[in-house]
Amino acid sequence: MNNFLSLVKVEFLSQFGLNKILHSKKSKRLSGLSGLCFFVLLMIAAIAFLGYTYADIFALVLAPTDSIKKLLPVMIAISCLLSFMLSFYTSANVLYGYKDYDLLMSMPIKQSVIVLSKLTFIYVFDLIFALLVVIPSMVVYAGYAAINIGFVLSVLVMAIFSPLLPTALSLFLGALIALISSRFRKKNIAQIILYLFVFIVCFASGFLTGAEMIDPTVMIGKIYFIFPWAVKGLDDAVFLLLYIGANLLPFIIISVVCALTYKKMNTLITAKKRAKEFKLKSYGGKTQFGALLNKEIKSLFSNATYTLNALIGPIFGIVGAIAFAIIIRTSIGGYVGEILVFFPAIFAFMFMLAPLTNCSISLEGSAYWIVKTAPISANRFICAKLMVNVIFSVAPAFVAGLVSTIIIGAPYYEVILITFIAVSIAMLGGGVGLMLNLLFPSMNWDNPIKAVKQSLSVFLCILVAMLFAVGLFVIGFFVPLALIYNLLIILGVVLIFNALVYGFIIIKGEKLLSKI
Amino acid sequence: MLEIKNLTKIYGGTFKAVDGLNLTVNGGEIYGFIGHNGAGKSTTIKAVVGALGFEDGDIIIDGKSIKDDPIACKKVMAYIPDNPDIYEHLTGIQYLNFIADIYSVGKERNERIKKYAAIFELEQALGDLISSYSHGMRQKLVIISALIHTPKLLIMDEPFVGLDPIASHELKTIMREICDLGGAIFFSTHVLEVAEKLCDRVGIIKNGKLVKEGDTKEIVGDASLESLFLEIANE
Repeated sequence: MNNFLSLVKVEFLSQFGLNKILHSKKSKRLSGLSGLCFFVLLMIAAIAFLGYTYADIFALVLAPTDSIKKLLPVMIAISCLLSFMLSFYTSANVLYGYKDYDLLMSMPIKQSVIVLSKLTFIYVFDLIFALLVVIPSMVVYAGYAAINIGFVLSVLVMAIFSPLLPTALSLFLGALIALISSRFRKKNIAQIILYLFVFIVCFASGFLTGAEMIDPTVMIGKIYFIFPWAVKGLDDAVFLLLYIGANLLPFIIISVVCALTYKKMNTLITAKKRAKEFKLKSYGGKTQFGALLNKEIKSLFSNATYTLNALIGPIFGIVGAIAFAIIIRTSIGGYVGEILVFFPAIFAFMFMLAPLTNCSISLEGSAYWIVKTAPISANRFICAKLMVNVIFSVAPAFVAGLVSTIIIGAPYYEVILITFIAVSIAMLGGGVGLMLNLLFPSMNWDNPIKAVKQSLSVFLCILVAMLFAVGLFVIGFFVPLALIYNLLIILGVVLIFNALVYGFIIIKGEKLLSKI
Repeated sequence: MLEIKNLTKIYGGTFKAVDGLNLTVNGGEIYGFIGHNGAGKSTTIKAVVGALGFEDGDIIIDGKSIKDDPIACKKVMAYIPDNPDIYEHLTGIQYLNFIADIYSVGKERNERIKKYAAIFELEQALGDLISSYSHGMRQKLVIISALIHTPKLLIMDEPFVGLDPIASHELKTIMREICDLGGAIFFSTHVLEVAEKLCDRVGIIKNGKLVKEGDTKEIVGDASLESLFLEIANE
């Protein structure tokens, strides 16, 4: 096997504890593999289902204007935009600052091969995501128009090449941000600010394109500039080649630049700034709980990917809920209570998708011995982790629930109910995250990104949040009762789940922690 | 101070990493724990410090069982692992204060930090992030953090790995001081010369069983600890 394939193989074997499962005892191997297969199939089904649903919605919008042909390019563009948004703050971390850097660079392997193996790893995940969105979309398209083999091949070729541009762009931005922030002593804070800036620019560009909401393809075309080539490329081979070239060229350029500057970039990015002159000051001390809480907060802000992953939900939870309330208030003119049924699902999406607790135990990593050998009770350790969730998720949920319902003009009892629901959902998010991380900790990582973005507990948390959001929407929308009763049922459901999850943590938490 | 009674640790339902181990470390004693790679040293140490559960036996620290009262046991001891993996996102001083808080050490911590940081020549680096530390600097930081609450029992797994000669010398001096004050030290090492010179008693573990134990001078006799160890290893 050549070097490139060996490196790619090692990258993939380290995913989801695959190698660990493959080399465990026969009985454990079987259960591990079946569990992993079940999980992978579940994820595939969830993404494919979402792809199908989105395509169905877009088809309903596009069909009346005879624009159904744009459906598949639209879905390809959406998968590109999503994979860019989800990966731009992790791509650079996959390439730079890995613990295996010294080992790989000391071996007789070309720098370009090392870089290409890492890029392949990023690309393959984006490609799977793109195919999972595009293939169900084709099924939707087939319901509206006839398809032939040429059409299918064109779409598949587009889907295969489409992740190259977002991968290249995310690498470029990620590396640039890593490079700029490496010049600061507080480089994590600098990184977080720069990433947030890019996020805001991306979101603002979506809203400020001046496009009519009636035709979403206009808006997509303005953000994803090669969209028109994708549409024309379905009939015209020249435009198809143009589209392929527009994806391939930036990827090749970025790959070459990364390969040529790999060593220099790694040195610059991983260089540590030392304090100029340190003077020891007298320190009074904290309580055990205070010390643990302080450590957790520092841990949250120690890694830009973790910070963004954990705080994007609460930040957009507040901003989104308030913006939604303002839009509703100004567009409708008066108060329409029924709109409140959407709020619990929105809150579930924002506050449960990536709670900071879903990897907080995994992030202890090889330093977990400190807590294990320290005179700390398991409950205190768990409480400190949950308290960080209260500060950075439950408190924003309270603000989001309260302010948005006041803006919308809801009566006081609905304000109280929605605020309670928001707070309970954020509590549940933290509890579910911690419970899943207790059940599926991922301690043996060589880069914290693996714990934050690629561990089982994180994926399961996303899945639970999506299902829960759908469940709350169904209750709110389809239970034929007055609004107040629907909201009470939702609150009851959330509280019951809270009781179950926190009960589990109280009963099993200590035992599960001791097993890690 | 430390009593290990019939300790048995089984991995995967069949493999006995430690098999009915019995040993005692008294106050004022330095106990060297020697064995080949995979003999069961680290497993024993991890069980003693409460990081690893075990199937059979008990471990008594300062009169209390690690099984029944782990918090009380952990309060009086400190652990220095073989690999100094610590919170890289904290600065040295933040880490030391964190450990001092966990062990409820009051303002007296400041004097201790000052003292040990000076001994291990780490004062200037305390303001830096641990991620910028070398292996040796991390090891020094872990040693300082272990001493910050003046433990009665110090458990160490290969403590001299990565230390420069000055730091190694200082650590040996500190170990002796702890024992002179009535404390006890239980540590594993592959450096047999150090064990021979430093330890009051040594124990040799082979395939999870304690095969030789006793007063260092008595069991070594006219030979050396190295020749004794090789003899046992080749049996």
